[in-house]
Amino acid sequence: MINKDLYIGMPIMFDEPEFMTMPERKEHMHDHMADTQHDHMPEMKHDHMKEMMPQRMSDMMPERMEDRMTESMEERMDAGFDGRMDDMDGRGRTKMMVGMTYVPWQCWGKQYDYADALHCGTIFPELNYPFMGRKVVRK
Amino acid sequence: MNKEEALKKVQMYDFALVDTGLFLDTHPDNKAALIFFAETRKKCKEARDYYEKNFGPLTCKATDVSKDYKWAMTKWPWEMED
Repeated sequence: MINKDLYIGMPIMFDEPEFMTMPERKEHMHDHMADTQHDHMPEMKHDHMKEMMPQRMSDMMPERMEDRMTESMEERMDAGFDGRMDDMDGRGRTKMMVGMTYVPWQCWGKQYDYADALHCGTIFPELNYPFMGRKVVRK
Repeated sequence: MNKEEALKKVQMYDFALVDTGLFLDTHPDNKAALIFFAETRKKCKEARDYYEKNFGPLTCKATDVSKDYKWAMTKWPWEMED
């Protein structure tokens, strides 16, 4: 079946040597869930949507990968998931994971007419972000 | 419709079909997208048929072989520009 949750990309870490050394599994990984409830998440309109959404980024990790997570990695992934860009570590860097991508679920909306679509390279206006020299602009 | 216009139509519908197909890869039961895909495929087929009837085969698979191999006797892509 198609998974309609957020797609979260493979994390890439450049300065987490613990990742390579396979630390022991922490026993009560989710005990602190209650006090980190998504203060930064936007209000959900429907309760059933809340249920569909994973509560924490680390809940979405495959079991095998979770075994290899350290506390600091977990914290950084959750910071990224909650969009806490201003959450800094001691060295003034964001705690958000480097190289983490997400793709929100696309919905069927309006389409360009066929000639415009060929010209833009997409039939979806919401995906038309032409690169204008230095930055991407919304068409 | 001249040859360039006819080819442009084929490209337009062909492209829209591919892009809609990408959407359907992840939304295979989306009714509106399915309807759009069916409409576009119909237009694409009409455009391809019109082009091939009037200007020759678009691919070797579509070539007429009743007398000879038309595909090899029409212009190559790099000879298309006038």
